[in-house]
Amino acid sequence: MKIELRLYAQLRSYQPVGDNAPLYLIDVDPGTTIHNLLSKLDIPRHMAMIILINGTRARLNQQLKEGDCVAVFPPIAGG
Amino acid sequence: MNDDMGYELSRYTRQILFSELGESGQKKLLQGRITIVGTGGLGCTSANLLARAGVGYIRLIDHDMLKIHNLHRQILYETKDLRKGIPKVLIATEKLKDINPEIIIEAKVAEINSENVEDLLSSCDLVIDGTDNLKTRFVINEACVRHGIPWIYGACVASCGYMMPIIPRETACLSCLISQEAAHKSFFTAQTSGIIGPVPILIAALQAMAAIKIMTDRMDSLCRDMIFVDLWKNEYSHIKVLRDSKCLICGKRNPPA
Repeated sequence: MKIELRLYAQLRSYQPVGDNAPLYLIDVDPGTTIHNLLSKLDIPRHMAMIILINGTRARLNQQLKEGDCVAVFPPIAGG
Repeated sequence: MNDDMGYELSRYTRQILFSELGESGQKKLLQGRITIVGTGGLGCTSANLLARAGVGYIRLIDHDMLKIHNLHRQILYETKDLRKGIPKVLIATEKLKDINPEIIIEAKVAEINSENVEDLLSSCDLVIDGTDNLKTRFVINEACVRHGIPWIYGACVASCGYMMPIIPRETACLSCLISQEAAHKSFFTAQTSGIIGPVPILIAALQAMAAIKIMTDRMDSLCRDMIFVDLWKNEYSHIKVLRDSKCLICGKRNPPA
């Protein structure tokens, strides 16, 4: 199934080589969780501070559904 | 041109001419009371803009000393200030009093924490985030949600930054967005990843704009989304963030004070 993925800031480097678009579609297996998705993309857990599914904070064990929009931000804290 | 509170309104004529604000909006700003936590890259710019805009009372909180590597982005400080040897919040206060002597600027040399947050945020209508760590932001979030005080979250590093207004029990709060466990993990700051000057200035300008809308009761014009920018990659995004009904801070199980 396809989901929409947006990786922000430093996380953009975990997108497939050559793909630098702010948004891209990715195929995942039914039953894939956020934890599985981060592993598939080789994103270390500590690099994903904000994870939203369709605008709501996601839990690591939350399963994805067809068409979900996932946004992931790194831990930005400076001011 | 004086208003009935004795303020000189001619300073603000170009702002009053903007019809969405007008004289009534200006008077609300002059009566406004805000706290800015942190006088670094974000806090310097939001304080500068809001002092010029005529916010009647601005409380600044910071405990750091000025360092030379602050100067490329913290626009209230100059090279000669390095010799003063006083906390930078006091330097910022002097500058803001020169910029607008008609308003009250109060400096607090302090590091905000769960012990002093109630005192430091007392009697203000709005809080602006200029801090550099998540732990302090969670302290601000909890106090603001408890007392129903709007606050404007902002953070930036490298060429990226984001901001989001938090209106207690109306919009998502910080704990709806980020797990509180994250406060104890490492994160990117100017010290770890660098920062380019225009980024905090833009994020703080967005924070100041949101503050002006909130203080003048123009909630109809307030964008509730998280706004993300990457000024190097030329990206500007709006991200809708929804409240978490199970949020430990603003959820239904945690009623207002």
